[in-house]
Amino acid sequence: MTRKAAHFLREMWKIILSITLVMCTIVISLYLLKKVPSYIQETEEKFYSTVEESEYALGLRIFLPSYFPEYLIWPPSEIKVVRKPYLTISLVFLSRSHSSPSLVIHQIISDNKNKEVDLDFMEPKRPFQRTQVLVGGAKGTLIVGVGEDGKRWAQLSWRTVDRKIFVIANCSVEDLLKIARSIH
Amino acid sequence: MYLLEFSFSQYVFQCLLHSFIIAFVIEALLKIWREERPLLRLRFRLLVILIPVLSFPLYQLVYPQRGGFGFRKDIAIFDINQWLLLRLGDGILVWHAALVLLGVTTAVFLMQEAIPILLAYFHREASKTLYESGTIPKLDMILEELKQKSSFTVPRIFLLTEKEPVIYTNGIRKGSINISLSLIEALNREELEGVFAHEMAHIMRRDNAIGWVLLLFRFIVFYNPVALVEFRRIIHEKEKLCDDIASSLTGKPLAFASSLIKVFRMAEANGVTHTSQHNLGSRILFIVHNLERHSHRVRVENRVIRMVRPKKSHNPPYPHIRLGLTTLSLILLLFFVV
Repeated sequence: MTRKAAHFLREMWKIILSITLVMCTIVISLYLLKKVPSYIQETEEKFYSTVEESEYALGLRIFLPSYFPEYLIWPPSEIKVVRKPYLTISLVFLSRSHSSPSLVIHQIISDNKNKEVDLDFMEPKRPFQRTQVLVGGAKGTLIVGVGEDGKRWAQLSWRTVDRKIFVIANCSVEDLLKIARSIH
Repeated sequence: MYLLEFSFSQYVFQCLLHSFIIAFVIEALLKIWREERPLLRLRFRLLVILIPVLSFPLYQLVYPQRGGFGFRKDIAIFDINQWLLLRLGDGILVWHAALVLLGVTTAVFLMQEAIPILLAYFHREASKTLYESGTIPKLDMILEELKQKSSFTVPRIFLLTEKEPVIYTNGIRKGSINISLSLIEALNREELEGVFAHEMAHIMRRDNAIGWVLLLFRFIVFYNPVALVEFRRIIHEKEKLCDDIASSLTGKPLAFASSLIKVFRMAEANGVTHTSQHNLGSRILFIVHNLERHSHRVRVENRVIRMVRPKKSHNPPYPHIRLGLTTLSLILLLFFVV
């Protein structure tokens, strides 16, 4: 090997090493920075643009209805996650005819069956019917009433192994039951 | 929040993020390599402006799924959307703060770059007269000397009647030098030779044509605070490069340094304004004006020191390989930063 070639190789080695060092520093810093937001937002409420994104951020599967009436718009217009007091995922679906919320699905993650989740803001303000129904083998509570907007709203809530689900809609009770029973 | 789904806002924020990363990498490598040559520093700094503008469409073309959720989740090293959706306070997201930053940068760009450049261009174009040899003997002698020292044809000279001491070049294909009469009067022969050599260096290097292309890129990334800083640094490197050429052409670096100090002092004396500071707007303008003056002073000081006490050049070898490998590594890295 000539002296010139040896010098070239030595310089190339220095160049590659310095670029690699700087790039590695950047890659490690960026990787760590990517992890920060999920730690910061542990107790905050956060909005996601897709169901997949929220599943990825939370590390759990979000239940979705397989029966979805044509008068509702897919995908959800809002996907909100609140960490405290309970980890709650809320999906809001708009009506195709008047573009206002017509179906809301809340999933409250809690496997403690004895600790009753009390979120009374979800109930219709003036309930006039309260009955027990079966949803996939679980006992659910159906409440029909008038909401704050003066419209007829129905709410069905039941518990699964790891979460309590609330389905609130201003559709018919039959449709609400179909939607609720298709959620998995 | 839903704006994040639009390609344009993704482009803007990725451009901003990529500029930050490139600026950091370039700064670190220039320090490690102890690269002091203005031409090479300038080429490296150009990457901060050029790569972010071109990389996003290029990446999307090569791999259209790059912006998708799957890529951001599983493949990307960093996803800026996660940070933009962080909540700072009551209903305020990082996204809103970032918009404010972009807005402030745009305002600075308009007030300090776009409007002054356009105003100066039209104002000066209107008030200049072509210099005819024999009118000012001092100028004729200098031009003759420079003609002998360089193989370059002396360009057309235009005289400006304005009070401020200015000298600049214009013309894309055929460059010309514009100089104010006040500057010709203020500088002695050696100093004037230095500033003319400096301007001729700009013409030799076709800096005007390059400058317009650069300005086009600057206009494209008007919102980018990193580009704002880097653009000024590039201009500064260009000036240093032409200082070196002027110094080697005339062989009188001290006279050139003296001309820089004189021009700076004259400009300072002309530009001193006593702004009323009674309201917030005036106070902000006053602070901005003083910051500008301070940064200008530092830049001139830096150029003068280079002329008076030139550093022993280190000149790391294989600069083109360094530039090429850095560009390739950055293009590869930034593909995974969305």
